[in-house]
Amino acid sequence: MVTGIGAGLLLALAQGWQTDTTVAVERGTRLEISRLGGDVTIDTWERNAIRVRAEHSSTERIEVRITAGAATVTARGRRGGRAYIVDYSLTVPVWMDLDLSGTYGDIMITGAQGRVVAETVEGDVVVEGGRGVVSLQSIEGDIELAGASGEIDLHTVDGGIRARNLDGRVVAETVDGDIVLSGVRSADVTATTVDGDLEYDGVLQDDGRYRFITHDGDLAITVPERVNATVSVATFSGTFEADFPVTITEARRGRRFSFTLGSGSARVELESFEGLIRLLRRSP
Amino acid sequence: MTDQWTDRLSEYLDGELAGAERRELEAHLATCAECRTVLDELRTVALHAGALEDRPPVHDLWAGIAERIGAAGGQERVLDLAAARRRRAPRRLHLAWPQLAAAAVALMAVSAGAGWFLSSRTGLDPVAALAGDGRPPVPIPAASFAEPSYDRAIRDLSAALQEGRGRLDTATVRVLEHSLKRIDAAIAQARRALAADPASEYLNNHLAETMRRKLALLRRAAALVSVES
Repeated sequence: MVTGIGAGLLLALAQGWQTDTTVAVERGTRLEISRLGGDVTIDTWERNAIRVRAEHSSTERIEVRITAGAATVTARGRRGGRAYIVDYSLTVPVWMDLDLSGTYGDIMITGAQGRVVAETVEGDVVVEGGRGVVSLQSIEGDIELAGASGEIDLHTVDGGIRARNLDGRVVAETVDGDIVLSGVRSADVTATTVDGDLEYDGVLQDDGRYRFITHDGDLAITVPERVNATVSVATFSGTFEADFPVTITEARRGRRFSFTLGSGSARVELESFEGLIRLLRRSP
Repeated sequence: MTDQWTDRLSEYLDGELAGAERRELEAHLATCAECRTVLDELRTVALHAGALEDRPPVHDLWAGIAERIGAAGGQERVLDLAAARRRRAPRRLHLAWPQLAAAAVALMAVSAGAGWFLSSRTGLDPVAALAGDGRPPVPIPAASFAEPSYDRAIRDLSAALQEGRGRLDTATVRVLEHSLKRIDAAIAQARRALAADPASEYLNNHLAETMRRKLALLRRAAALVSVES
């Protein structure tokens, strides 16, 4: 619904093959782009305005609709219907929350300091930044994230996940692909893949909870030398190696055992059905 | 809708939550009907799990693992596994995979919110339903311990997906097929392992987790069909 002072509809008609328009927005406005059918690249600036550049055919136009709390960017076709293939390049306020979804194309975001929700079906999602909630999803594509904090959810189906310098709760899940998490400062991390390797390099905070699970792949978990963790290891036909001297505190039925490092405060679960599980000490 | 506590209920039931977390979860339970329902289901099936025979594993990897740790550490004290078993506290009530699968289905049902995908039931094999290209589907071993609610959920989601596959890009369908086959292969492996060692807590959990992954993927695929329609 279009409401409020400053609400309005801005039609930026295509100039040939290119749209390039800048629209002022009030602080707190979020960006919404749905039904993406092309690549979108977003970077940030300090101005309270969004600049929209788009490549599309001469029969299509780009609408930037400013409503209460949201700036919605839409591509329209010849008869007002949906335009399918449009590549966007946007510059948005650094504080702006971003909500992007589409079917085809890559999503690349740099410098965001607000909430980031980005979903595509066929394409990669590459994000630098994001605070509060950072939710990145693809079906067929890789997920890359750097320098984010908050509630972080990374999901793909056929693709890898690579993330670094994260603060906050982290969930990373894929079916067919590797997961690499580094520089993680979190008390709650879950990473699972079915067919792929999993690497983690980060802290094990006291009272934290960490789950790393693969079916057909290896685990390499790198942690500081001094940690307080109860580590549970489970495998069917895999093997386990550790840099740390360990003392077994509990031996459960089957291919599962646990041991304690330091006070045992954090809980760590390492599972690989048939791969190599390694608990590594980070080099000083 | 699932929340941060839904996957901690089993730990709560096992008495594994620390005091502060336990109190926090109990406070949450007082206000969350969905979690209370799931917890009740877990309690019920845990009673059955308690009757499981406590048999030793068919193959014990510990000897090899201890050898590796010994070679790496040098100062560690490795406990005797048999002695550790004897000293072990009475067995906790862990859930066998059919119960975990049932709980997973319950969670899925809760999080699904609407039962839109339950409208058409054709009984198609979940992989065959997706493939549709004449290739033989990856066989899923018949579950002699079939869990009806899980099988039904898989069947219904597969049917919904089959019905709407024409609305998805062929490349997307191909990826979904491929990934479902990967998961089915993992499920088949876990089932074979579990057949040899049915009391394994890890294998029970792993199979349930892998089945949950399949449900989640099918649900996401069905949602994709819904969006594209």
